[in-house]
Amino acid sequence: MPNPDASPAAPIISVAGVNKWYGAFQVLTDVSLSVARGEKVVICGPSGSGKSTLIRCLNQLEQHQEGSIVVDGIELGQSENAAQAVRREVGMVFQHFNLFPHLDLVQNCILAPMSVRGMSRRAAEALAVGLLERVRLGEHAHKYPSQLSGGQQQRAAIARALCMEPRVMLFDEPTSALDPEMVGEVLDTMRGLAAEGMTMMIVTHEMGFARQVADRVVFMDRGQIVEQAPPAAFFGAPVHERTRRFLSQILH
Amino acid sequence: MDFDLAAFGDAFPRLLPAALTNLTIALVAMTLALIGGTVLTVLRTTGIGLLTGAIGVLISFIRGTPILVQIFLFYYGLPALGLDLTPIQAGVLAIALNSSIFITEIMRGGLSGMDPGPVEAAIALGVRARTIWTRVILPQLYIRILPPLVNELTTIVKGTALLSVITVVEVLRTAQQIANTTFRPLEALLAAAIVLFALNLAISQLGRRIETRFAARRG
Ligand SMILES: Nc1ncnc2c1ncn2[C@@H]1O[C@H](COP(=O)(O)OP(=O)(O)OP(=O)(O)O)[C@@H](O)[C@H]1O
Ligand SMILES: [Mg+2]
Repeated sequence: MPNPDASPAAPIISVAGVNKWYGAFQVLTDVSLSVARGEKVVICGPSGSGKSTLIRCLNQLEQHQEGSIVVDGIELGQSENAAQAVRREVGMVFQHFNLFPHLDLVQNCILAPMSVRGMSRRAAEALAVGLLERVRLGEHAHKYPSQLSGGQQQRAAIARALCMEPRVMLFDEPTSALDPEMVGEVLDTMRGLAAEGMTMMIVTHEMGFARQVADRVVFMDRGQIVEQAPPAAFFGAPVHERTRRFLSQILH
Repeated sequence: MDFDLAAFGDAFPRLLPAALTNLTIALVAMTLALIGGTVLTVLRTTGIGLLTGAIGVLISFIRGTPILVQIFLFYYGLPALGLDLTPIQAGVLAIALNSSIFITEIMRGGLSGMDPGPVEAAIALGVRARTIWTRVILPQLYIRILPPLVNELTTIVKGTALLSVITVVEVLRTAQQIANTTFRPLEALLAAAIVLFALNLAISQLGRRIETRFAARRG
């Protein structure tokens, strides 16, 4: 049997027929989606439509109940080892940054490379300092999260995820907890990452960013993928009534 | 008024060295209690019914009985099981067990108010559960509960005076010995109280300093 991972053309993420329930409430309904290597996919949709749940299933922060999710050739849901293997390849950035408050930025960045990848402290620190500089936090490398602005914390969180040298980055509303004046610096960091060819899945309502960066925009509503299209088509000629209504609300 | 200032002053040179015994016992007991409290806290999160049930019973037993009785149980009771402990060993263990129960309760309170976000981030990074406990949860938790932990240490210091009843020669027992020779119990006991008070004052001051130092890391 051919290894699907062997072909670079194979999708790096492939979600097929996924259903998930919280008790009796179905949060994901027959979700299928595949993401090619290097692709940037923006997910949008009204509150409660299942966007977070979907991307949290991709590294098994949430577990799906039906269907299959394959990330970088590894099928999720089979074993805890599969989940750990996927998490090693998939970085995640959260709405509320979720930095380790008791550790400075360098320590935040080296914890996983050392304990998960078995990197030496010296190598991990060199990597961390390099990535913190890349997100323009070099001078703050030894500050604690509480000493930084929201935008700085989110950039640090991106650097921390990058320290694992992931193949995919997931973003769950990375700018929606930020003061407006800090949104730009985080989006710029993400643009830089996109330009370097990172595979990215981004839940966001920053439609300007989506237009610029996304290869594809996915619209979710009530646990379903309603529509997906390249940004020009998605914003220019949305097919579904629900998409049009959502876009008119969000773009005023 | 009959207060012998000289007898009062003379008590201190003997009480101060004895205070070192209280401090040492308190620090050893506190260390053991921190370890015990942490182990109990982690065990309680396993969700194994039998285990959490047993811990629950232990907690209510320790909280519902006088610490003096617990000290007696360790000192006079354990030899019946073939476990002969010196007064200091028995005292340290009794206080440590008692305190670990209070510390696990403090830790549980601290955990329940903690932001789950950092733990989620660690899971997403592929960090294993054990490392999440040792590197993410516990350090944050200790920083959060620093004030009640310092308070617990002062409670332990006060508790060390109870060991006088099982013949540990600490501040209170030393004061009693002084009173037995000088026949001035008021002066000796007041001096003992002041020594223990000063010890606890120093501990809370030090605790406040440590708190300030860790303020930025509380998040
Ligand atoms: N742990 C849970 N238990 C029960 N219901 C949940 C749980 N987590 C999410 N839900 C419900 O599932 C639905 C989808 O939630 P999800 O967080 O995925 O939505 P979302 O699209 O990310 O919304 P938002 O834009 O508000 O972040 C919501 O109705 C939510 O209330
Ligand atoms: Mg969400």
